[in-house]
Amino acid sequence: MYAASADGVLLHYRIDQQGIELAPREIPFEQPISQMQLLLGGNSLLVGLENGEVQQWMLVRTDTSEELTYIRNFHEALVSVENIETEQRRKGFAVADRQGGVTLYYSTSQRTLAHINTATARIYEMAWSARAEHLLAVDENEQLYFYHVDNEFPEVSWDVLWGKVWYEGYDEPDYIWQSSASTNEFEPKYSLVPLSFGTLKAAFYAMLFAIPVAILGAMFTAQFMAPKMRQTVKPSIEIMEALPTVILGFLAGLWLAPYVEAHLAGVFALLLLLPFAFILFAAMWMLVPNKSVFEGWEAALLIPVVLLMIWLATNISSPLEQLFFDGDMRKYMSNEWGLTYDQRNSLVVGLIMGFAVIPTIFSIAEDALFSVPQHLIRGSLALGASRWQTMMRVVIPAASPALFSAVMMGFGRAVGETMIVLMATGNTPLMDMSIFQGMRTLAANIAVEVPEAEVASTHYRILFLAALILFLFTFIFNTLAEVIRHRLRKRYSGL
Amino acid sequence: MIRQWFKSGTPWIWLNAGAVSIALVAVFGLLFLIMVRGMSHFWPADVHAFHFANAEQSMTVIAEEIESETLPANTVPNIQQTEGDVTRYLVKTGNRDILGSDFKWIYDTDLQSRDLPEDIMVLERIEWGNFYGYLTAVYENGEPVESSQTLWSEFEQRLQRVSEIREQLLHLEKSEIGSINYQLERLRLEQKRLELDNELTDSALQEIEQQRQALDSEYQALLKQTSELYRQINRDSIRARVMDGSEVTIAMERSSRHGSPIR
Repeated sequence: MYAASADGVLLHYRIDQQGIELAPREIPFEQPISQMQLLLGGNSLLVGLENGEVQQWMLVRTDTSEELTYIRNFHEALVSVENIETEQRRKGFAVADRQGGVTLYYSTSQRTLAHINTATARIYEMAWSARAEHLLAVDENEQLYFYHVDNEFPEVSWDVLWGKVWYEGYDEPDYIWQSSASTNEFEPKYSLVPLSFGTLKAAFYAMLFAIPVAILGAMFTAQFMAPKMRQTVKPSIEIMEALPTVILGFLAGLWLAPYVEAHLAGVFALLLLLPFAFILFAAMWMLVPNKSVFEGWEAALLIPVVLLMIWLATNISSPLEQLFFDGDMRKYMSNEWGLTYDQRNSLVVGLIMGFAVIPTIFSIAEDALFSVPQHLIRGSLALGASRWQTMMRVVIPAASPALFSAVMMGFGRAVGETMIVLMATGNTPLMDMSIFQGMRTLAANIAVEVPEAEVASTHYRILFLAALILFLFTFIFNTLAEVIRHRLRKRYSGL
Repeated sequence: MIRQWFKSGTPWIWLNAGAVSIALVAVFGLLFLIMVRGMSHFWPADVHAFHFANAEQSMTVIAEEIESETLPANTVPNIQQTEGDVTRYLVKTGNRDILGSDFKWIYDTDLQSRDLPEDIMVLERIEWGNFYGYLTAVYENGEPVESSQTLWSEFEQRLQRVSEIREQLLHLEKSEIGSINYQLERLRLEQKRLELDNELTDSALQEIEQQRQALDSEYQALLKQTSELYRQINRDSIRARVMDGSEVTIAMERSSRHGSPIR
């Protein structure tokens, strides 16, 4: 129960099964309190002061109990608040002041929507229509005022979309996306930050896996591989592009995610051990006589190594977890390092979405590396450089504009990818860089929510805004790629 | 020497080759995975008998193995063993009408042995999914059939007969009776059309009525035929023993075909 005393002190009494607590918490105000009103849902208290300011207070959980806390204020009118009337279905409210002015505010977005002053006397009562389209006010001269209110999307502001907002029931201001709930008193939370973050996070982890495989693979295919093998390898890798991403998402969610969860230590061991296994195999290969026959076929020779390592990783996973992680890596991580493990996580998305963007990067990079003029390569080799030196010092710089745009194209593809992230991420709009947590991307969010959104509602329009932002993302990356490519091309155009 | 080898760049070339291998394994592995997962539905799986025994009781589970995994015992719920590894199998036991579910997890903690029973029968049914069990007798009109043939060929013969009758029934009901219904509907529309056009004379009405009666008697004849076929299809049934030893009766009319691991 809340009470206000004449000298501007707010009293907060607790009432529970035992009865009323007689020692209230006292909150002094600098100005005398003229009005108090609960906002829709009963979670927030609006306090109107003599100087025209309205403050929003909420019960916020602390370590021991709940504390009435100042959230935000609204200070458009400058004369004493006489009446506060809240909307019936939203978190908006109208405030009438002593001189007959009426001000409309919206709590979540902290916006002042309108200020009107048609009455000349003090307004002592107001009423909203159900949809908040009409406002009725009566002043001291018994004059009735009927306002038609055209106020469709008050819950959106720059701060709501991109800033931290202190929502009802939360301990602190935060970036939250939660567009709908089952109750009418619900406060929609439209922060686009977690979605944008999720988009970039998914793309980042995908690129982490895709760039090394695609670029290194392209280097080998273009310059070192036997032409006969290249004829089959290039189309094989490019065929990945033809695989519908819904199949990849399906496999990621239903096959890879449980597999990774069951063999977590093995998966990490595989990622770490594979490069060493390749180099070890290469060192052992030196002992093989008559090896020049196989020159250009190294990739084929390494396929059994990859298969062997995958088999090995699957089998050493459980012993590894026994040895280092007390038998269960997931439990160990959450106990020792505080990392919670989500089955649908960034690792799974990174692997599968990386798989989806490899052909894009590979194809462009390979073409570029392959079309580096032969006279450059021959010249370099003739001057005594080794094949690797030629690759690093001559071929890569010459092809760098295209390599760069290949990576950017891959990134653009990863940002816009929908089905894989939709099916393999758990769609949790979190702000967390952890590789073991899911995310929700802009594209997946649109796919999930557009069928449910009320047409022309705020939610619906924000989804279109999300689509625009998605476009901006890809536009920025592509433009950046193009600009840098032009610069690099100019630099190497003399070759 | 190693240092020189690294300086020559050869290991890095091999590393590049490894990237290609990873990509190739990923592509073909994925295609292979999709194929294996998709195609396995077209081959019937082996039916195993898992024999369990501990101090108190013994039990046999007859089922197809779907998948198995080996886990540290302390991470597996619902078992007593806490040391070492436990292998658990997801098996398809079928018999949903008897057991309540088609699939179950079994653990190798009390597993004594497993084998492939020779005379197991897998029956694909129209309702309740697959049936797994042993054929014990063939019945006709509730009476056990005495026959010179083996039980199995007797059963197969009768199943063949049942499926032939089912096809006849399908033909009668879909095509023949269906076409009569179509003609009756046309007659009704014709009558309606005449009525709306005010051309429904007594003679026209009589003609329509006549045609309708002809169709009706045709229908009655077909109905007699189908009810006879229904009597025939319903006479065959079998008795079969399920894995816990109890016997059940299955109407052959309700089973579409039998599965393969029968020798």
